[in-house]
Amino acid sequence: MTAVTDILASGRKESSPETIWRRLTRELRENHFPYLLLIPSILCFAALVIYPLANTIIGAFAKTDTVGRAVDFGGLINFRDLIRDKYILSITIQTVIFVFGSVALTVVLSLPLALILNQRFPGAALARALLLMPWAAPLAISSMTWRWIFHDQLGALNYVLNSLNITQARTAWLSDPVLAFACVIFVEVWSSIPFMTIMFLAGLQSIPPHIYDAAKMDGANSWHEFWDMTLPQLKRIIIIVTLLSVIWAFRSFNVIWPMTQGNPFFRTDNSVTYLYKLAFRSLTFGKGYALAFATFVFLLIFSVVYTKVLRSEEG
Amino acid sequence: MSIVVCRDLVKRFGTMVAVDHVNVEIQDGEFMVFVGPSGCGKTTTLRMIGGLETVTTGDILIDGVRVNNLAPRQRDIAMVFQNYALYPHYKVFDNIAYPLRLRKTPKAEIEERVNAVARMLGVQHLLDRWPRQLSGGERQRVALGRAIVRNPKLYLMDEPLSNLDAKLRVQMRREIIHLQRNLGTTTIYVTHDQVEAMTMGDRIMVMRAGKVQQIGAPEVLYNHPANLFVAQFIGSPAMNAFKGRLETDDGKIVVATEFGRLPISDQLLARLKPDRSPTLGAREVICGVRPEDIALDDAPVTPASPEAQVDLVEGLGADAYVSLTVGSITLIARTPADCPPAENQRVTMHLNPNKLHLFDPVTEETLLELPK
Repeated sequence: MTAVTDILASGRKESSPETIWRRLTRELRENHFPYLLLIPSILCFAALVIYPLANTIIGAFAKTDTVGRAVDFGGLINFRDLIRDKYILSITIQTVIFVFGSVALTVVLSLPLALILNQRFPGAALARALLLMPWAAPLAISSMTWRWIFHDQLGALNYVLNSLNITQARTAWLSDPVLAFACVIFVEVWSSIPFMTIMFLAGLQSIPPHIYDAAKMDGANSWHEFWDMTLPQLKRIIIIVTLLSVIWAFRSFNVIWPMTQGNPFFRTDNSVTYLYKLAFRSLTFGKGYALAFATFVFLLIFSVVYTKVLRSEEG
Repeated sequence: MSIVVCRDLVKRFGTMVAVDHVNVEIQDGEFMVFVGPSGCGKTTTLRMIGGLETVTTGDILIDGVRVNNLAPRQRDIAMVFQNYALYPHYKVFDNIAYPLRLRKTPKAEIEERVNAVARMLGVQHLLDRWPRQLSGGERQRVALGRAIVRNPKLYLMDEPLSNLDAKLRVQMRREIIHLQRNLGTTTIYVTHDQVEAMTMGDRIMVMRAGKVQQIGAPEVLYNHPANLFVAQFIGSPAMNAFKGRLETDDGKIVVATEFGRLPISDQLLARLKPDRSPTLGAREVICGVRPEDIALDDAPVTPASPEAQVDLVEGLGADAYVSLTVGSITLIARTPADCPPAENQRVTMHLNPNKLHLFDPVTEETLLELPK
């Protein structure tokens, strides 16, 4: 069976549109059953991914009404409004700090954790299972739990700190802009560690063990083994996982919204919580669409450049 | 001066004894082969010498220094692994250069030495490739290069040829022998292949179930095996073995077997260990004879030259292996290929009375004196 995609790909090189169409219809006529089976997933994908995406892109370049419908072509008017928004610069900076801060911290914490869990020790299996705990609950629920832990009057954290005489006052964790920002990063890191650690662990376990023997015989100490063997062998996984984490952190809503809703004074907002506010609080859907579109384009460019740069390094 | 000494070396994994009181001295510049079936402890012994396994009890001395507690990097030993163990993320040049980089060798010297080694091994055209782009033989050369580039005191080679195809194996075998002779560095080589052991080793240590069976030059092991295991492990096809009893015929000692009464030469008789000299009429033995020490013809059958039936003839070009049945026993004889007997033919066997091997049926130890 020549797949439809193959025909389209080959069509680009040689045939005229007419022959491509003929080959496509023939392919569908002769092999319709597999394509029939694909229809449900294509429909779901179209309804849940293509339609919202298209709607966002259209909305970004349209004048919208108060329920988000595009009513007229707007050109770049939404982007102009977005740039004039008085919070957008600080939101952008916060988003970048939130994303790269949390991803960097997650990498720095997950790698040693994976190295430890990769050792053989009594209870290693239990430790690996415990690691998955943050994953066991839906993130929105965990974030709400963390909000209660950080609560200044009723929270467990202040209770513990006060009981141990580490602090006297009841620290306003989520009301102080800097502390609140640190708290949302902390929870983001806490929730990202399991995935990253598991991925690193998988990567570590796929490293051929004999290269460590060879390195030892060649004169390597533990530091050389890590730096010259483990790290280069993990490079691919680190690249992929970091890329995914950056994309996910950019889209992070389930941590910030349940914990702070971007408060105090937009100081813990990221682009996603802010665009939610633009669209559903202020009902300025056009600006929301524009911010969503800008984030999308930024991530697209980031992904392409990031993989290109790191691949070229690999030679 | 002996460079490597293992003294009462023991390695236990839990309750399993992998290496059981191994004692061996490896001389300076010697090519020593550890050989034995899988799981006999030869690789574990090698890895202990290299420092990749801890020693449970016993001592390892290199140049008179006890190295039990030294890390591999402090022992100045290079090792070649069965699966080559090249670093997949380094190109060939960097693979060979790695041990020098770890020693902070100046860049220009690294360049010079890597190139020299690459030339010696014929891999200079591969220096810019990744290990995954190399064939098995090329990878093995690179692994050898990585070992020799830094002139270590000792080479350890752990079945380095077993992943290569038969033809390449023979070729690399010769290259390693040449290399070792030229460099003159003490080498310990582990293999399960007795042909490799026989062709490569100055001396061979045969191991079984963690214990040393015999240590000696290849021809000593072949001609004077210390026990039945060594006798049958070394040599292909394996030595024939059958039960017998030492008896006397007219004052001459013979081996009485199911199929005949085999004479023993005076020379052989003189080598019978005095404490085990047969009490008349009743010394059970296991008698061994190598396939090339059985001659076949159509002479008249006597008790000393019994009759056998030819089951199968396997021609090998120069030689032929002839499977023979005598009573319930199957023997293999090796004859020149130009006049092998026909299958199903009846032939007369002559077992060379000077080349019989006698073993205790219980301990399986040889009953003959070994050469000093």
